[in-house]
Amino acid sequence: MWFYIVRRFNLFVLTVAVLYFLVFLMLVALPGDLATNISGQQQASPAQLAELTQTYQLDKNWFNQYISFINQRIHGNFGISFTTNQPIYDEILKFLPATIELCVYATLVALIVGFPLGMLAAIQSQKPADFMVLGVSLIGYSIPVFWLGVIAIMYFGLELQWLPVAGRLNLLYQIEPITGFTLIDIWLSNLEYKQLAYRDAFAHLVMPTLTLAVIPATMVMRITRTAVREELNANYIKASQSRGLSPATIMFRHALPNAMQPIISQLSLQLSTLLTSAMVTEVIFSWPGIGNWLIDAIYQRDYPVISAGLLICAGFIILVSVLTDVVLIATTPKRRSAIDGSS
Amino acid sequence: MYLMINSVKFFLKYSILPFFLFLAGCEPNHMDGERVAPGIVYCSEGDPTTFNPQLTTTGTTTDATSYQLYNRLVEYDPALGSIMPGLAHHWHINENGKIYTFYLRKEVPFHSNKIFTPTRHFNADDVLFSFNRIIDSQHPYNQVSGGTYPFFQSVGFSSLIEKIVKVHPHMITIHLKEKDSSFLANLAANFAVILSKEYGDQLLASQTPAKIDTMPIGTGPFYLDSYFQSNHIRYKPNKSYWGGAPTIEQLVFDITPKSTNRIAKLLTGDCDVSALPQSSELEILRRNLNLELQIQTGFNVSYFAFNLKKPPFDQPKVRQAIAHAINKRAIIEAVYYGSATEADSILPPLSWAYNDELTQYKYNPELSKQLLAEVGLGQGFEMDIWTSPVQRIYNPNAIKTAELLQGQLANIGVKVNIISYGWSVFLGKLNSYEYDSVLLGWTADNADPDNFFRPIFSCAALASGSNRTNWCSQELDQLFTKAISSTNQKDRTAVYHEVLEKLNVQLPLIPIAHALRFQVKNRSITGMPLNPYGGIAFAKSRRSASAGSRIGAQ
Repeated sequence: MWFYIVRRFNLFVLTVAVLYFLVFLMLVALPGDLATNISGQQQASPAQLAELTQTYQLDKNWFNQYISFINQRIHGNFGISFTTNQPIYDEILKFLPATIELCVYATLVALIVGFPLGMLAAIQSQKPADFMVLGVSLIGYSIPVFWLGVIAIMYFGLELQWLPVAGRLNLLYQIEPITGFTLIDIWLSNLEYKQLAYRDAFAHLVMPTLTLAVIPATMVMRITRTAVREELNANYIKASQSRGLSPATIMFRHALPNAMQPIISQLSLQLSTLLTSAMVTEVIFSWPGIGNWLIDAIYQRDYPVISAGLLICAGFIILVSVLTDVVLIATTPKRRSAIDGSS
Repeated sequence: MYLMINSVKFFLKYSILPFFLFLAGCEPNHMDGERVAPGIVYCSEGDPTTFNPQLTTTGTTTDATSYQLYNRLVEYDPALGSIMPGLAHHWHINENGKIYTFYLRKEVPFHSNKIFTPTRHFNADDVLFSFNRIIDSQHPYNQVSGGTYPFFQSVGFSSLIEKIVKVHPHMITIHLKEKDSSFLANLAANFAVILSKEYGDQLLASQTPAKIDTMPIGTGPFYLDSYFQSNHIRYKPNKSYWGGAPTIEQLVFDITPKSTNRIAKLLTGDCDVSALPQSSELEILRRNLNLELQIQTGFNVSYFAFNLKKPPFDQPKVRQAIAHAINKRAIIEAVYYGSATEADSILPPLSWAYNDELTQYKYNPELSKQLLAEVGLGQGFEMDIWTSPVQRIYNPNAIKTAELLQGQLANIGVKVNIISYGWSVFLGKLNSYEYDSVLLGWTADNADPDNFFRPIFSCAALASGSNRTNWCSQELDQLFTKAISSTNQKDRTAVYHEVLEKLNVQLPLIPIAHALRFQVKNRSITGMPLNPYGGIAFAKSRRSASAGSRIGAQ
């Protein structure tokens, strides 16, 4: 077990090192001075330039530069943005909560919708309900996020005027960004229109959340369906049926816990899909999150921000996949033995 | 198996359905007659670069500051076209036109903020402080926040004013070195705001002078509550405003750079008023009965300027050849969707100094090829056009304009490279004069024609960075001075006609179009006339009670 965790950790460190190396290469290759690209300091004075050379060891060879680049970044020094001249680290902290908020709600919706439907399809295998679920998930999975978002804006926003189409909250509600999560911030505020503010925040959440939830929901559906169906066909289920256990007990006590393992491991792999769709969704709904920030940076050719965004997003995905791996191994002896056996 | 299905059904019923019902329950609230928190939201197109309009000429900054946070000595009334009292309730000019005496309003309080609470009302010291900051290079605030005052430098403010004298706490005199008929209009411009001396002194004592421009204190109808960069600016009404406190509870600038997003927010009610709708969106706006589209012939011009220090643009023939190769009609159709008029001089036809007898550069590629051949460039050449993707009042889409120019100039054998930067970077890089040509424009700050000449063509403007042709002539400068030293409109018109003719021959820049000015707002918002000279004012805006008119207007 410990051996396995150490191996995973090594893999994590190595992957992140490669990621940093690629980003470092990108900064070298991009037009402009490396000192400017890496620090975001434009038109640096000679004194500042000397300091930058010192910090990033720009007078040494590329390997030293690479190491000091990693060193600065993991200590939270991401340089400053070209466009705002603010430390990028602070900007990340400002935009990250919005993205997390959106992703968490979308994941919740995806699980709440996808999980029962997937189970239903597995139970009703090869019956109309199964085909319905399969069909719906295929359609949902095939619809591009950007198209769905725009259509939703057109119809529910502009045509019916039911829902707001941009932002997180009507700006007339003065909410101090304490945590960065709108709903929590409203709760913490001492606003006199709290009830209205909640409704407004929810109204702003509906369309982006549902748009973002569609693809994960279809994936949850299909993964759950396959996993549960496999378990239901296993011999031990047949045995427990013949022993006269109630279907609910079979489902929730036996089949489902066993089906959870493949579901979780496959879902964690879908995190990158969720993040990329979140970026597109954020841009469409002007959601002030990391994705919107990153894509703005690309338009503005804000190299330090682009590199920081890459590091954060890719690093996050690597971290989560390693963590789920470790958690799965820790909870599933079956998998562990398979790995140990092969090594 | 039946039970199992039942349990799943049970699960469905009590988990998913309530969720959707719950969502549905909060859906339609938004557009109900019942209003969200009170106040007005304005969708603005960008971040202000500072909160002190003295330091800039960009419209976005003046929109967010001039009429919300500050007052001027005198104000310009666009409806009457005349100068009205501001912080000075009364003024007179002596016979030789060189001494202006202003009688200042009493009982005008300044704003307060976290770090400053005023102990006295506005008086002559504040006027001296505000103007001396600009004209006196020894003033402690002169170099704060960059030390450039582009508008004032372009109109030669510091060389014009001999001295400003405080006669008593509520009376000042301004002594000019020579007569300048545009002086009052310049004092009424968006940039000539009055700051608080007491605040300045306090900040100087605490060694944080730059805060005067980032944490503004003024006398205007609103005070700055909070500012989140690239997100929003929040203003609260100044309850003791001398002109009568605003009736709205708060004012929010929602910073929304994308035009389509502004329109969407306007349609869904997240915004009440929006800046700069794109010409392509006007049709949608006209169809919506909840919205009101205000149109105003703009005092602006978009132009294509050459860097006259860079060959081959130092030759007038080359510039004329390019002028003949440009199809302005096509640009107006494609970029402005017809909501602009072709410009044949820098001055819009509305202005009283407009010269309608200029020889026009008709679209004629053959002629321009011939002109190029005359100077030995018959085989064509390569050039750069610098531009920025940011939407401006005078040009909704400069990149598209540049692309059209690229196509049109290719017809005469000129290969064009388009170089674009974000707005702030763009303005910074322009000052190094490395470009061959640049697409820019100008929005007038007041009705005086002088505003189109000295800021764009004078030698003083070359130093302050608003003269983008990298060229100025003594002859023109003398004509400009001659024009402003007279108060007789007929004499001035004659001078300006001469100036326009000279510019038409020299052609340091090619005027392209005068754009119409638009503003969209919800019908329930009233008291917001559209100002042709830029600068939006919310002091008298109000939301009428019939907010319910939204229902049924679908």
